[in-house]
Amino acid sequence: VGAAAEPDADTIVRRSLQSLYYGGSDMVAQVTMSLIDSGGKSRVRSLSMLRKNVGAGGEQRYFIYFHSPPDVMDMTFLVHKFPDKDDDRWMFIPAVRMVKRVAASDKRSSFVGSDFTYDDVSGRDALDEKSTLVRSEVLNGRPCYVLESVPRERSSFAKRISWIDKERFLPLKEQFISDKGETIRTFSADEVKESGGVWTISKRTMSDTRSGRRTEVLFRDVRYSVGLSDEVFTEGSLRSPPRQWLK
Amino acid sequence: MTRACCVVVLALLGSSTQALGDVQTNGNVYALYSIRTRNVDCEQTPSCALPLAEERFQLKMSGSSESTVASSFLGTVDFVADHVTHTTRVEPRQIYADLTWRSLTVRGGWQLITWGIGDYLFVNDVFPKNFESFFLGRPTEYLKEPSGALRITAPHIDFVLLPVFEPDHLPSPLRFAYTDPLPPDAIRTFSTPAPAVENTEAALRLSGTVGRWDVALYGYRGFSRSPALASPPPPPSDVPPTLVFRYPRLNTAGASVEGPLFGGLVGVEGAYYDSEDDRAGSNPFIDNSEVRALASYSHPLWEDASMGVQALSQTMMNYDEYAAAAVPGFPTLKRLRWTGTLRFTQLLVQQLVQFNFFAFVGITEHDAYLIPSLRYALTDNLSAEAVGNVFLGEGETSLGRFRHNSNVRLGMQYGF
Repeated sequence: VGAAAEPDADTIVRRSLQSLYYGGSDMVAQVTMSLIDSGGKSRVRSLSMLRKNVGAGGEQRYFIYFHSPPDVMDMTFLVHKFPDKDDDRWMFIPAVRMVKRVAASDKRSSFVGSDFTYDDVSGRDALDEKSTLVRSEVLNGRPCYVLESVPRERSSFAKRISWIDKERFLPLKEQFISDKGETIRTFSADEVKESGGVWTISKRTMSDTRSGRRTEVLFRDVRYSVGLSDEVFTEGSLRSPPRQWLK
Repeated sequence: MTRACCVVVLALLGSSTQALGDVQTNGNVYALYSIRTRNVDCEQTPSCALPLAEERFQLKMSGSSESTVASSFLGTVDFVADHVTHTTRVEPRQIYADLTWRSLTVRGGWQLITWGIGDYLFVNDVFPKNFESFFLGRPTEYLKEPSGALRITAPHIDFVLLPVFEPDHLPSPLRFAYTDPLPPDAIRTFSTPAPAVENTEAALRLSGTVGRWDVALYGYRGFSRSPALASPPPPPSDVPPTLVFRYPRLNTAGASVEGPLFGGLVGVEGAYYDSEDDRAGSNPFIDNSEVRALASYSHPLWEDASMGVQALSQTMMNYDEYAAAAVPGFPTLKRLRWTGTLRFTQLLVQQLVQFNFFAFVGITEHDAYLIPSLRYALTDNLSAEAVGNVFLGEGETSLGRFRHNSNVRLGMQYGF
């Protein structure tokens, strides 16, 4: 029996998005984002992220609670994510105790000032980019598929090169290339752990090559399929966050 | 009634402070100074050059416990050193306790209540506001005044009882120089609705979604938060004249819809304001019944930038009666008034710098209020901010009357 045929690029992309953003039926994680400037000075954002998959069509709900810094403490975000159209987003502003719906067509804007975009945090649609499998390569001891992806719509990058773990289907490295051929952002999965049977990138970094900035993200206490109720992802929850999941 | 209310709050607090797992203490230190940008005749205003000069130490304690009935509490209190009034004072901002059973939450105490879709324009949000704070450039949280209230929240339903009436705080002659058509030396008394069952305000919101649209219905029975003269001003021969103000009955009913359109967010909100004490519209000192309608659209522009526009119309229901009863010397309003707003926000340098520009434009009254602001987060805890409050217009229009009070507010905030 010969080696199994390599899956095609679209299958790899879909499985990779599945592994990265859809693990379990739901997920709870405590997240620390360190925004580090070129001088090494860092700003730290600490948040809890709750996610639930809805149906088989790729629809998801996200709930994010900010613990720090003080000026965003108690702020909450609710995102209804649709694979093929703009998300619905609401935020709760604790200072005036107001829930505000926010326009959400800016998927490539920075998430809370970090080097990650909203797309990087909650995933993109497999059809957003056209991908080609260019080679296989071993990266840090892990056999990987190397993909080249070109966004179908105008974007901040012209091409993305991804190293996808052949066994776990998690991206271990990504390079975002400009139309001039220079690397503008680099993603790396610095630590991968198994958590409840789901392989999870527990430490990741996004570096902005041009500014010399980077954002390091740690996922702690990652739990999958804990049975988050639908009510966690409603307006009421924005105002009174589900404390039991925020520790 | 007040006593009953206090007992409820204390009972809630008592039950929620039992067996609290952890109590969190946080807070803010603010230093806030507004500098008037124009020289004015300040005989009436002791705070001529600096209408706002204060330091605030805001202490916030919160805690929660989880059992069959979950409970939590929040206490936020400001300790203020005010260099305009040369006083120190304690301002309770929010002190409440929650009891939650399944998806039903009862919140009792002093709380900020706000709803509706408007951005600094209020249609169904009839809860107390502090416009003096806003015009002086205090942080936005001080635009809202706490209400002593019992709020019951369940999915799709919010019901609020407000036994203690709280008026809006309007710009006072202490900090603002503007023409008052009433005699300045008059003795003014304000008669607020006494806490009583029949004076308890009630507000209701029913909300839900239809597809990707947020839909809500609102109702309120209570009082206008703007004072109205209880009787015509006495002749100038009365020395000193006495003016009695009261808060007329107000009921409102309205609705709002908000949802995605062309990559942005579109919203519509409307309400009928029933001026119960003057349904005929013939009392010039009580607001006419009116219809308020708001339309809004916001859209992201480019990376970390967004804009929003709103238009608000206010239509008097009994304009002929209002016009016929007009009192000489008092400003008269048009039957239909339009107000527009524009917001532009740009975040820079990892969102550590926030530039914001907000403009109220009185389309009918030909006046404007512009609020440019720049905030920089020096560290995760410390930020500096400059806010302009620029009033434009002539005559005694709603915004133009404050034209001598344009100011720049400088401030620092330390959060912990």
